[in-house]
Amino acid sequence: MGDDQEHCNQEMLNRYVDRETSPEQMQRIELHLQRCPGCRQYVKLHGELAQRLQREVSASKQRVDFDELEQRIVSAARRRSDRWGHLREVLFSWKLVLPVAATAALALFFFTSLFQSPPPPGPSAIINSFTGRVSSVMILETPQSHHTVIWYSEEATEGNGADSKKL
Amino acid sequence: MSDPLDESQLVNRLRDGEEAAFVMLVRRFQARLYGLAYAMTLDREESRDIVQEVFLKAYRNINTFKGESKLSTWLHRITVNQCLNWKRRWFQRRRWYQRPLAEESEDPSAVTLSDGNTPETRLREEQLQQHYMEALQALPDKARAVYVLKELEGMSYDEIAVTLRLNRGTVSSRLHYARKRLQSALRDYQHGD
Repeated sequence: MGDDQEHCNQEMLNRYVDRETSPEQMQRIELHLQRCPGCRQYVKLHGELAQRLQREVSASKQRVDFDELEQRIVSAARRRSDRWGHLREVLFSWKLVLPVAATAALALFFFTSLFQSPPPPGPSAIINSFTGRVSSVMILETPQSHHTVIWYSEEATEGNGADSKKL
Repeated sequence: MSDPLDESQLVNRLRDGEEAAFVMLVRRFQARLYGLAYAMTLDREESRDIVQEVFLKAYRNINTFKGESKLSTWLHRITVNQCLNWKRRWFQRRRWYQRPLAEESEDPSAVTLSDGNTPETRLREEQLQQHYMEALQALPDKARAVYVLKELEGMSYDEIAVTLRLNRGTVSSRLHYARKRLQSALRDYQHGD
């Protein structure tokens, strides 16, 4: 069944049904169909199904009033067109454009200042300082905190640790 | 209203926003697009809504139509996409598969293949039609779109490929898949040769 089996190919049969084969392929398939009831039935079935679909659609079309459908479509298009035309007219009229532009400018100004990041913290400032014989004191301030720094004079404590501790 | 315009004239007049051109467009394509929508959805009311939406989209987006394909191809593409969106919407509402098909196929002339059949044959034909429609509904979207464009519109593989922006091989394989599924679903109804 070598040659027959070659033609017992549904994809090829589909192309035959759809007239998408070359004349040579078509001739070979037709020869095969004369001998193969299964493939004949496949071709027949799909021919009938196509007819059924066409008949079903045709019957459905007969029940549609296309004049009414046309009017419905044209009216809907007109409504949409009117709506869009009106919307465009409103959107691009100076009565709307000027106030919208002014509001946008104000909003831009307001939000720019509102959401501007705070200025970076300034340098620390020394408020006061004292330097005595034994120790020094410095009071300094940053934007977040207040510091007092005390340190001992190394010269004064050298060789005299006990005095230093008393302080 | 006569319809003497060729496609490029029609498109130019649509771009100019001429209502008369829009009416011509609707008149020229509505029945065909309705058929496509109906074959995709099997629902008359929804198909009418889909066709309406397709024309409104086309009117709104006519400036995006480059003229690289035919106007009908572009409209078919919008229709298929609209149908697929419709199905997604309906799936969310879980209605599609629950809808009895008999409601759509109540006209017996829609399903009988030949006159003078015995009641048994008629019944069998109706059952086959019912099962066929159910099997069609159950096909995956992408396969159904290809199948419908082929079997209803008679498009070539190349035309389907352009319409759905697929390559030819994908069209062929989806069609093959759709037919296999349908054949399998209708196995009990196949007659001997």
